[in-house]
Amino acid sequence: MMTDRDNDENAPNARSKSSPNAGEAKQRQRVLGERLREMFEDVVNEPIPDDFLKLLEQADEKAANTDDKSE
Amino acid sequence: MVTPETDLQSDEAEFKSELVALIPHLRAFARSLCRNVATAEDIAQEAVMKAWSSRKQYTRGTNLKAWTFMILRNHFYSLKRRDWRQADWDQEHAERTLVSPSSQEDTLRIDELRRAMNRLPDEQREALILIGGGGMSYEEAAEICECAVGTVKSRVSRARKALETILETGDFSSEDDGVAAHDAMAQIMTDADRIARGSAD
Repeated sequence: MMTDRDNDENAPNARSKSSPNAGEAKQRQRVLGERLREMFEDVVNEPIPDDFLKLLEQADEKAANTDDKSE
Repeated sequence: MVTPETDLQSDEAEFKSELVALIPHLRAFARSLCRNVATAEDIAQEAVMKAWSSRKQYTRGTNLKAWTFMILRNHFYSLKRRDWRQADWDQEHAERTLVSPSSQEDTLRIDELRRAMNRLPDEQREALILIGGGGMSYEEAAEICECAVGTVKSRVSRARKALETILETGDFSSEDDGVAAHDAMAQIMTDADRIARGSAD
């Protein structure tokens, strides 16, 4: 079975289409894309710190109080 | 029967739950923009509070994610502009270590990537983060950065090329100079030591 990596480095038809450097560049960009995604997703997957939810709760209470007063 | 008041309340509850759902993404965006973890966390919190307090300006049915990301982005840049302690923003100075060029595929580490990204101009970095990291569409990124879709595309493309060069050459700014300077200083000290000993004899 042929993976993208094999294709970039060894496949003759890849070489005829583009230079070996272009294949390498494509490979680099693929790795770059994966890492970028990983960098972002690592943080997305962290649990939300309690501070955030507390802040929103406080803001909620404050808003409720102001609404009461204004009405 | 639904009164306008309960309508408003359910709107707010809906807004809030959507906002809470976006918190992980806002944190990730802040962390990508600003490598100081504590500062990034503050920025994300402040962005969430800003979004909450300006919720009446949000048009229902429009893209809340793009809207909140735009708030975070604007907040980040206003703080960055205001803060004269640039070191807080450009963590590369504090975190620089010797890195060999990552010529082998799959050896790119996230810390390397982060440092390389710090070398990019702001507008290229943010475009790459939004598209490549956050998986946003070009249209969403354009909305967030308040620029044309074509501009986002060209920024992403330039960012990718620049990153490739940085990673290929291992050129993390004056890192090598730092090492060279360190070596030179060590050499001077050795020389001075030898001369001092020589003259003492």
